[in-house]
Amino acid sequence: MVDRVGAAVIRLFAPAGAFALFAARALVRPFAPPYEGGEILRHLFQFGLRSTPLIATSGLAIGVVLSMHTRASLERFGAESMIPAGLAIALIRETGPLTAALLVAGRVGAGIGAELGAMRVTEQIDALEANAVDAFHFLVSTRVVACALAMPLLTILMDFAGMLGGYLAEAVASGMSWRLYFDRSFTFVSYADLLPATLKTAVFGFLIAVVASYLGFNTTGGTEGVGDASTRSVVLSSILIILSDVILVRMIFFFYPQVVG
Amino acid sequence: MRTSPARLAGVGLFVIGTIVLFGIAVFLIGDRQMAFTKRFDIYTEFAKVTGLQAGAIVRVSGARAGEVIEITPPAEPAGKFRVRLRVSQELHQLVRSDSVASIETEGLVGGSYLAIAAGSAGAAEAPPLSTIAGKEPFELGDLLQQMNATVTKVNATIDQVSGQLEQTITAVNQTVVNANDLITGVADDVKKMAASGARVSSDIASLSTSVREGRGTVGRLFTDDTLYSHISGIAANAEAVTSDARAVVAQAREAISGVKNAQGPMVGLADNLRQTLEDARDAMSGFAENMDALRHNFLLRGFFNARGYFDLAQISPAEYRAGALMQRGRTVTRVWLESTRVFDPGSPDESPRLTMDGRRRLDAALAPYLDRIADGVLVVEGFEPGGSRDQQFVISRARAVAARDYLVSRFHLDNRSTGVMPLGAGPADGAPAEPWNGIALAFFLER
Repeated sequence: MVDRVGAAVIRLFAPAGAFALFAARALVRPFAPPYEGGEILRHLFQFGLRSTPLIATSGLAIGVVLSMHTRASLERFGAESMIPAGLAIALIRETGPLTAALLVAGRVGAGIGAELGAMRVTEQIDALEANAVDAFHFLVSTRVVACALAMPLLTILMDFAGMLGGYLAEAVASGMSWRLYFDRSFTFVSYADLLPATLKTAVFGFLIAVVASYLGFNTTGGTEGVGDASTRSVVLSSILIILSDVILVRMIFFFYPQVVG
Repeated sequence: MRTSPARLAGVGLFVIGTIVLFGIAVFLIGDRQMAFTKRFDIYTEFAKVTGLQAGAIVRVSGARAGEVIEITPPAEPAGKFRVRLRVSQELHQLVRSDSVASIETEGLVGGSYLAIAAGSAGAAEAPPLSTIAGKEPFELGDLLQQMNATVTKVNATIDQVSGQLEQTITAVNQTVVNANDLITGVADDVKKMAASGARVSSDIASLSTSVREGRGTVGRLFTDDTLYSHISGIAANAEAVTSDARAVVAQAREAISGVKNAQGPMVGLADNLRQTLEDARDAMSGFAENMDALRHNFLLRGFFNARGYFDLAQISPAEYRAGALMQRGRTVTRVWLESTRVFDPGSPDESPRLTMDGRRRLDAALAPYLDRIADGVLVVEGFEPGGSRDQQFVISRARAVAARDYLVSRFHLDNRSTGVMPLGAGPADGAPAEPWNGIALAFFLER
């Protein structure tokens, strides 16, 4: 009985421990040479530049939809002039970072999981290690760094695309000039809104890359395992993004108490 | 794997592009928070702060001017919160020693900001770290409470007045009934007196005839007891009737006096009515103040704006330039008037005087729009390209105010839809010369 309970506990917590060690290694290893700048740039191209159409289009659509919803609510109180400021606050503080992270988790997380998974089942990783190449550093650290760097940049793009979408919706609805719209957008936005919310997405980027790399790096079961690693990468990284966001927002509120007005 | 130059360029473009966007956001936020302008600190005090927090916006005459730095609670219950503000130096000339600060509502969930009204021209500029007066904040709850109290008071007064009115009508009715009874009683006596008088006249006539005809003696007349008794009775009756009539008159006078005197129901009624009117006037005065405050309230400002009750003083030059009045299908037409053709060159820049020719030019500029101006908005824009930014602001505002005051006085224009906008050195889009030195009448008219 005791043996069975002990085995169950080990089965439950062993993967968590293995993942924690993997994440700790991914956090520390990039600071040690060689820095693999070329690989990081290649991944930045894949994760960053190639995600811009997805992020910009989604941001634009989210801005339009948010603007329409906000207008419908604020119109009842005669507060249409608050739409740009409300939309900017919502996008910069939370909607932009979280949506960008979830989109990147879907696109990049699945890609990393599948790519590393395929390398594992085709023994490419074993071949790298057999050639005295630090496979973890070459494959995982570079992806983690690139993803953590790309996320804040993609978030800024998402914020601006969302505000542009909001402006387009507002211009159609009320004919507001772009100058007045952007002037009003930043009425209530402060550095305390922009900086922590943008920088926290580096944590999201780290989580996406670490989760996907961990699952890809430990793939078993052939091509079926590759698909499974890809799917689980998206699901697990999305859950971790949302859970970590709760903690990060709480920390931001602690360091930057919110001011109304 | 080697990274190709095209990919490197793509990554570079991506990184630099997003960093530029980030820089724009940082600059816009810094600009809105006036991080790049010179500022000075000043204090104000309030008994209650109504949600005002450190970091809240400060506006001077509607223009964004700075932020609340800290709020120090009072040391005792009777004390006041001391609020420290950081205000842009550019607007220091508007913050005078008699300026008044008030807490207003703005923002999605009723966020508060602090408004400073420009002081009078005669007062000195408020020195840094001095304290300006604070006007206690208005709250929607206070208004509702006041309205409730007013309605209750009016109801009570109406109940009281209606009770006293009822009493008065009853008293008047009773007086009329008494008077009627008395007059009815007197009528019989008056008839008897008239009949007796007629008989006396007849007797005297008969006596005179008998005397004239020589029948009986005069002594018999004086010794005849029946005749004497008859005459005495008539006299007594006449006296009683007179006395009754006097009593009726006295009673009627007393009744009327009772109605009219200081404790009577009529005066009480008049007093109540006067008190009611005074109370109603007080209530309406308070109500008008609160309605004015309500117009600035975030929740209801849109309602008033939609009906034309917008406050031109609340629009900053930046918002105005960005087209704050260009919504709701308005078009704008400007008439440009050069400073030297409108103002007396000998008058001080900060208090310009209109010349006779200048007044005629203003009349002529406004004349074509007089039949449409009631439905639109007139903004007198002031321009002054020379000097520092604060001088430009002060002079352009003084010019606009001088022209606006003249037009409002001359044509009895509505102050709420006739505003001024100090635009300093411009830009003056569409002006005959750029930069423009003078004023422009901007007519915002419905299409």
